[in-house]
Amino acid sequence: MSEKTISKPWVVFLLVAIVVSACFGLFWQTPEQAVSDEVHAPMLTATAVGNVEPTENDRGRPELNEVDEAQFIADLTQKFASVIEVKHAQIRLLEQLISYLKSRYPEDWESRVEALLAQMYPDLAAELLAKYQSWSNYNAWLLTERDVLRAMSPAERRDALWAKRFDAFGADAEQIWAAELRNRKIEEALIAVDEMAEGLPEEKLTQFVASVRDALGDKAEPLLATRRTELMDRFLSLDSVQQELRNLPDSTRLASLREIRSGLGMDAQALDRWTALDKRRDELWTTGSNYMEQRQSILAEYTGGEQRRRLQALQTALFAEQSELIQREEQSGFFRFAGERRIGRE
Amino acid sequence: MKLSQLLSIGILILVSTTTSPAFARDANKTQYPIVFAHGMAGFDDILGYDYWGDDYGVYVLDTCQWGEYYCNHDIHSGQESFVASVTPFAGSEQRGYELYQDIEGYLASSGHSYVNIIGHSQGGLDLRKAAKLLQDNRGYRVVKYGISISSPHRGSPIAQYVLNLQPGVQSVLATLADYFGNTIYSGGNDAIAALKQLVNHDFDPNDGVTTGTYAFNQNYPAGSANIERSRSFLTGQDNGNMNPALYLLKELWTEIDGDGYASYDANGDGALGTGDGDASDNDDDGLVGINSQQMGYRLEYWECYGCLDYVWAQSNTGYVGDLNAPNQTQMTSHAWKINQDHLDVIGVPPDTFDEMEFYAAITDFIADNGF
Repeated sequence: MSEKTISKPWVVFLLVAIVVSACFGLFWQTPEQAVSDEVHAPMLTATAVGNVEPTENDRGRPELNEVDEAQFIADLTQKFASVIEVKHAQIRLLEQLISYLKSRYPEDWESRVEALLAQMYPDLAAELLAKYQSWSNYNAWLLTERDVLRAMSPAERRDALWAKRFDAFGADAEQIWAAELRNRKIEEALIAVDEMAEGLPEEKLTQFVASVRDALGDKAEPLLATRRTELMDRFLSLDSVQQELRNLPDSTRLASLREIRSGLGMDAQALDRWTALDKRRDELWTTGSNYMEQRQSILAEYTGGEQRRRLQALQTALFAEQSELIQREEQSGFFRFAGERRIGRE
Repeated sequence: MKLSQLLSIGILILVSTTTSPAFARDANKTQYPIVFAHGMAGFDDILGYDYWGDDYGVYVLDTCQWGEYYCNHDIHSGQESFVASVTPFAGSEQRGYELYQDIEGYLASSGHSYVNIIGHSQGGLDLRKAAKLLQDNRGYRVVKYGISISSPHRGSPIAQYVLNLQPGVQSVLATLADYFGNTIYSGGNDAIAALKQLVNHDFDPNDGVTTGTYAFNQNYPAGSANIERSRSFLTGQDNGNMNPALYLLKELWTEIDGDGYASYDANGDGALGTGDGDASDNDDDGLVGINSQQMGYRLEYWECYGCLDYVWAQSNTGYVGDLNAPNQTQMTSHAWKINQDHLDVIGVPPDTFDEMEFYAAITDFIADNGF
């Protein structure tokens, strides 16, 4: 049987076309594809009726056979192979190994740790076993010292925990709890700007962002990019920042909030959405303050049914469809406009 | 070159560049971001990372940038999430309102129009009110998945125990400070309101306010009105494996018997239902009985050794839409309960629970079901 041959230019063209289309397919998806590719099973399309809705049981489900230990060990070894020198990864590996052993061998799981570590990482077995012993000692200490730790102030407790961590793990403790240390640096930066004697909120924000960059180095930008709203919320919750914002006239305050958000890297569209939200909130709080004043007058002047009727009429007049919700909140003891407004957050 | 050879090479190139290795199943990216709603106390550490983190401070949905180690390697690098922070000790009317405001802010920052919410403990109640406010104020159903974890939807006996100053409790404030730290003394907190929220009935009919989960559930139901899909994880564990903080509750105070059926608080412990006469049968997680925890359908969590864990929705205990009227199965069945205590599923040590994989698996579940 004869087969057709293809000339060289066509071969090159075809190969290039295939590679280009493969790369294109790899990196480009329509939004629809992006969704449908993630769905292993047909999407739920039925509409819920009343209080009951359908469930999504058609998602692809693998056979949950008895765990093959050799496979588990191989998978776990491979999973951690590239990061096994990182001390935090060593602890995660140990926890996963212990969790597996406890479930499979509840009676004698501890006696199997050493052999499995040697099987998984022969060159690191001694170090990993030592880490396991440190981990066990540290957790046992948490249990025995629980009453003492509970009685401490947060600062004392933090010091005691770190002392024990260094005692148990040596210098490795800083790698194991590296994320906690990073979080602590952000907290310290917030405390520092809160304690600044003077400064407009946007100036404090500039200082805060600079401190975060100093403290976290090249890790700062990803954090600022992905946790922008949380950082803003925490910054705006500082007492000194709230105080400054309360002292500003409305228009200046809106500008200040915009500058704070801009300083955290929000783009123009996000800033515009925020400005619209700020204005809606300002209007609602003006109505809310007005409501609280009138409410106080009604409580002072009327009693019984007349008081209830007037309050209800006021709520309906000011809050329309939301009046029922306001009533429910008040019945539970919550008055959303009674306390000091958390500017930038409500 | 022969055509068949050429096509074989082409197909090989296509296959090798467009599929992932079978052993590396990572969580898919959700279409809508995930919002975390913390429980009582819960936010005395920066950004909530230590609450929504592993036991060493790594945030459970921290995406990995190039070469980064301290992040969740099991999730998609573009996964979006937001950690809300509400008043640590307050009723859910207040906390739910604050959660709503936080979500509105996040939507302004991110430009998203929908969210999925995961609430732990009281956060599972808060998310229902936030969903209602989002629906009312935006005019459409904003919340796709609303998932509660270990939530006392029908009350917790511990709340009433502390409020009644039963043996071992000298003062509500001092007790909460002992267990949750000095946050309780910070401005804006209301320990009494927080605890009254978590008793099923109106704890004090003479205090001029109506509190408790029963009234809250009437106002902020599960079901599809405000949340497209309501789901819940249940937790329960035996004393031997209990977190020390919770074990102490059992040691000194009371042991919850939380898997009996009744249409009212038949044993008067402050939670709907009753016990089955055996308080030691893993029927609670140290703070909440299993008969209090189901909202919507239950979720099953399957810990996969050596691969990414799985989450599925399970319908065989039925759907709890009316949170005040679950049926007998929904109050007594241990099906799909996670064998962990109330604090294991968040970053409170010591435990061997893998928070990173747990939340990656939830993320994958949400993504695979279109949200």
